Amino acid sequence: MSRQAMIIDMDRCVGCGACVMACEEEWALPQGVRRSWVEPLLPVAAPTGPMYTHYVGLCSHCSEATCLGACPTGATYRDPKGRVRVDPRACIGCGYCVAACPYGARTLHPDHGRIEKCDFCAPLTDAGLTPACVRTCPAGARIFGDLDDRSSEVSRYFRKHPVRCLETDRVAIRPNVYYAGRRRTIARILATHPPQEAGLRPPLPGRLMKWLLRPALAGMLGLTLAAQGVAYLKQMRRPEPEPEPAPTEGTVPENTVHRRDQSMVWLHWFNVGVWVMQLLTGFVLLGRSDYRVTPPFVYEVAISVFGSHAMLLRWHLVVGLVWVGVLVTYGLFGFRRYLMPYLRALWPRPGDATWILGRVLNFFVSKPRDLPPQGRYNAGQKLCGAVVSTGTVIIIITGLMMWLLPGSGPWIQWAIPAHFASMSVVLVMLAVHIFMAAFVSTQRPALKSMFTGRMAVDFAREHHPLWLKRRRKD
Amino acid sequence: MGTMDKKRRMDRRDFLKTVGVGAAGPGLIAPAAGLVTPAAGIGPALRPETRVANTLAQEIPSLCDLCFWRCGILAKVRDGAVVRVEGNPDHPRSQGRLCARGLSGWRQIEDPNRLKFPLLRVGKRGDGNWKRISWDRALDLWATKTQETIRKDGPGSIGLFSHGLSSRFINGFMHHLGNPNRTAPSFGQCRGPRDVGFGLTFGEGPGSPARHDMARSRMIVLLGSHIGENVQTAQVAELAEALSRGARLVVADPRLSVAASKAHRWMNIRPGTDTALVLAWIHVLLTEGTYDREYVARHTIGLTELLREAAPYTPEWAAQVTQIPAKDIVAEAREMARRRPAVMIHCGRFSTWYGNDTQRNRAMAILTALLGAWGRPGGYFLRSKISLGPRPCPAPHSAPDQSVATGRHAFTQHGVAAQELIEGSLGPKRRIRQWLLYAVNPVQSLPGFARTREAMRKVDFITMVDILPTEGALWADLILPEAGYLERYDDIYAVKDHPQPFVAIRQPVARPKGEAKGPYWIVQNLAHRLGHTDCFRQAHVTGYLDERLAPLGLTYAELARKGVHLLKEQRPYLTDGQDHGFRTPSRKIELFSATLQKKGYDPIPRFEPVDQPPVGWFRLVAGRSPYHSFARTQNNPRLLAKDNTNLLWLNDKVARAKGITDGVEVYVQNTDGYRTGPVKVFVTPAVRTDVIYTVHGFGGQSKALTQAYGKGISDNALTTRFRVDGPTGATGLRVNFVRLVTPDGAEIKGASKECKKQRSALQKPPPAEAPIPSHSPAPGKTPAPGKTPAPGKTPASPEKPPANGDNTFRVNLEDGC
Repeated sequence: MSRQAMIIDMDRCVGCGACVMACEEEWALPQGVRRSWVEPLLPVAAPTGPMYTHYVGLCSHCSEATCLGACPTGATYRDPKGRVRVDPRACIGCGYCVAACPYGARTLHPDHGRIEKCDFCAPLTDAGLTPACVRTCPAGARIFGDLDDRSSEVSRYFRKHPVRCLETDRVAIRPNVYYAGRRRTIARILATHPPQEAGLRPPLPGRLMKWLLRPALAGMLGLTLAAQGVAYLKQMRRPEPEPEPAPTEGTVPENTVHRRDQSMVWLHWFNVGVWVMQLLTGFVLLGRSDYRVTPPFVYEVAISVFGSHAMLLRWHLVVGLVWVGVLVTYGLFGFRRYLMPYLRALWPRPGDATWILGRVLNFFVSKPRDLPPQGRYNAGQKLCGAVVSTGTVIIIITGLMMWLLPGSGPWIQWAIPAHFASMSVVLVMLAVHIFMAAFVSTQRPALKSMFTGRMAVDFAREHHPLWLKRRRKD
Repeated sequence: MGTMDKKRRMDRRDFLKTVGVGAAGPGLIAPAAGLVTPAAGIGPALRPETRVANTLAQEIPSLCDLCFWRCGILAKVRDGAVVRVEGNPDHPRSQGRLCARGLSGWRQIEDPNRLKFPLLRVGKRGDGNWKRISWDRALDLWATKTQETIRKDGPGSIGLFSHGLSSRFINGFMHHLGNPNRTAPSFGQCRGPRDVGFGLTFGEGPGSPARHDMARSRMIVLLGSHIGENVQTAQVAELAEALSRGARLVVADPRLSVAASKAHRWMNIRPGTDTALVLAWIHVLLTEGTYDREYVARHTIGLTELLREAAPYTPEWAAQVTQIPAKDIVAEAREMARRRPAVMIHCGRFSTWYGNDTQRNRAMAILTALLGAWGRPGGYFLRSKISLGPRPCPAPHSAPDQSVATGRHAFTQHGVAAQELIEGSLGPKRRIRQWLLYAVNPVQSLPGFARTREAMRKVDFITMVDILPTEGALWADLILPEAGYLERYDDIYAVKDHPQPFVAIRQPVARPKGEAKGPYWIVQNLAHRLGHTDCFRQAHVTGYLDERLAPLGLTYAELARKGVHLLKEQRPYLTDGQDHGFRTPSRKIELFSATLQKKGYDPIPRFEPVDQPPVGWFRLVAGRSPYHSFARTQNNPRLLAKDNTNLLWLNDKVARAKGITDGVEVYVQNTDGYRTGPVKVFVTPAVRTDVIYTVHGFGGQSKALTQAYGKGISDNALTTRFRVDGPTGATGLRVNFVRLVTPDGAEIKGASKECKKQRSALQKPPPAEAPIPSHSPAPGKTPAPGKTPAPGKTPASPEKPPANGDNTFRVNLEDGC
């Protein structure tokens, strides 16, 4: 591990701005995008007399960089040479890091909406060259190198000259850009351009992500799982129901009824695959930042499987896009056959509330009460379906926003917590759904129907009597 | 049921088809939906231009042209287009560094305002309407007009204004024709007095760029020079290097510049009194006997006269004149004595300040000599020699002297003084009939625009060769587009003013814009059309460059490959204990200049006071922005984005008395009634109460320059007066007084008590302790346009405000012609 750093000697610097121009030219930056800057501090009245100096700045590659934690996609990372860098392939241009930099060292590039910042000219320095600003500086005011290497020029300069960095009592995140020169000069820079305390944290949506959603997710999931645990225990204590007679050859058509088309079965399991994939990659993607929901070793394993962080994000995106494609195709081609019936089936009916209330009460009492007869889906399924469907739509829309709208300011900033919140709610519903399907023994025929597309008539009669009646009528 | 099955199968087939498309989603859907750009987020690299890509580009060495320093550049060219310009590390002077201007200068290639085709004026002169014509027609017309004028009035009837390396060919050709009426604003409005002042003392000027051995200096004295805001790469490097090695920096400037802010002592000097400061330093060194006695005895003549002449200039006297405490003056003189000979009395470059400039530079040169700093490490090193092949035009056989020189200025170089050329174009007996503006914009670079304009109205024909449609171009009858500095060959750049002499080449790295042509081609075509086939005999400029390089055993092709060729190092310092043949008449350093005496000037500099502004008026002082070269770069959007206007620095006490706060917009009016604005005020204690400072080069008045037009104010528009320096004929420009006015022209009144007191003290001549002989500065009477203004009222001078009543400068230019 090395620690690349820069010293700017303000005694040498004349503020000519050649460094900034070299930077702009090297990286073909459009106007308004800055990787580095020189701002004149004109001589105004001061107790120690007027002074004409400049604020020369660039990304400080802080050892305790706040931008790293603020990045929701993990595009911002620290590389092995100690540099804070942005992987443009993983950046979605949300700008959380822009707000989280106390020095204003990050800007959104208007052309592609991703973050532009100083990387100490990594492609150059890795090829053995010096950064563009260092190379052109007429005053030789910039000293660059590896601070961990005691023989480097920057180390020697560091030991020889007293240096300071732009830190205050409130903002001290160990920058790796240091300033040599008269105390007065650096005091002036600090007085006119103090690091912004507000810059220690991401904007409101980012803070919501950080402080609200993780506990909420944990709480909701925890409660659900606890309830399910209780339910499972109760089921264990209940006597086993009579085993169903094994279906014999040729009897199937008589005992079962067409529940859903094979294409819907296929879609269901496709959805399962997508959810598994997206939840996994999604959680790992958050493994780099302050929103961390994945332990570091999981992250490491995932990265070794996927190759790189950007690759992981690419998978997340590609799978998501395939999903969108499939769902849209179903919606378009199966509009009358699948989509409309599905929405109609989800439509709330009188008695749904009673059913749900009764179902919950039945959970607690030993003698279950009778519930109103249900249609194609029972009220609980309807609720779950509605929530998951709505959540899916929000997740897809916000996901597409993150992909398509980099640099769109508040839109994308709010899309991120919306994506995450929808995912959390859906996750709770999925937990119930999976529990019911996988662990509740009475629901086996329903699970089976998810493979065959046909449902046992007995089961249908008991659980979906209204639907069965209507189906028979058809 | 059968139909249903069929339908289901179809569904499945459709479904599978859809899955197929869906799986290829990002590849197929995104482009079809026009989402290619965002899709790049998961696709290949985002940036079109990166350094890694640039290394694949071809690197062509050439020379920068954003300032006189002419740093070495490497132009990165890919697919025939320049993508980046970097410093050439092999260039011994710039060593791979470039300033902001040099780095972004290549944007000029694509400047939409560029002059691309020969243009012929239609409509009135000054309106700026032209039509495109062919080069053949343009050259024929130019040749015919030149031929006619020469036949009628002789070769001296063409007035040539020229600037830069590219103008060498036209200068050579005009010289060949026997035309003495050539002028270079780089001499008369910039470095003339220092070249002459040092040249008369040491037998050679300080050179260009000056032979400052600053990195080794132990003490650096800057008089008005603001290195840092005025950026030349190696000069900034050497100053920084010297400072980090512990050199002492002293800056005398009426404004706290960046350099002054780094100085160990900032002397807030009263403008126009620099000579007094230098003479006081000479006085201290002489009276304390701390000058380099051995050096002075061996290398100089005139010490006796100097001792006599310098006697009255005591530090106490100088303190009253300069308003710098006497003890500070003495202290710095002692610092110099302690650190000599490595003391850099920096000659600066722009030195046409107050009309007493040659003598100020003489004083600085004498001080340098007393410190033993000429030809010593840390001072000035000596000039090397380079011999090149012949220039393209042989010298004239014989020519009648048709010079418009008045004979008042014995030491003008590069032809005649600009104002002599202008006056020679006016009046009933005018000799100048035609103007040729070669890379010169007289509107922004010459003082006294009213007279210039009169002359431009009067002359029969104005030809302009330039790159951009500057203010001057508006007046041209014929415009010839020259190739930009990245698109042309210039003459060999031979640098003798460097410890290791070298030659460097400027060569095209891009195709010329439109039909723009290189200077060799342009002048060659004129010469051959006029029948001077003995000039420019080589068909192509590269053949000529081969001829030029032949004595060095070098070919054009070799130099073009390397960009720079180092020559054998010659001794840059004097040999201790040996005499050195200086190139003065006496072969010594001339503290006393018999040459000056012979021509009727002071043989030893004397202090010659200049008028000071009365209460309510300020001296207009202009400086530089590190992002701009005079008025030449404001049309470069990259540079304009960095610095797009100028501020008016106003002393905070004055501002308080006038009720002006920081950022307020005011107008500025000079003693001749010219007004310009609005401009934002910067209120600061870092400028004297009698001075207003702004950055030069802004206030573009040519609408054809879409970026530069109307940005900031033009100090040159307010520089209607000038005071002529006797020996050189250079024009002192810092003699214009201005006041702050409201948009309707009413003065913003109010003066602080302190300011009044200070001003009234200034008006009185300083009491002399010893008799200081009053001396007439130059033989003959002061030239008419150089009259110093009678402050306090609008004087009746030849440069009256225009009759239309609205005397805002910008309006004049558009409406008044």
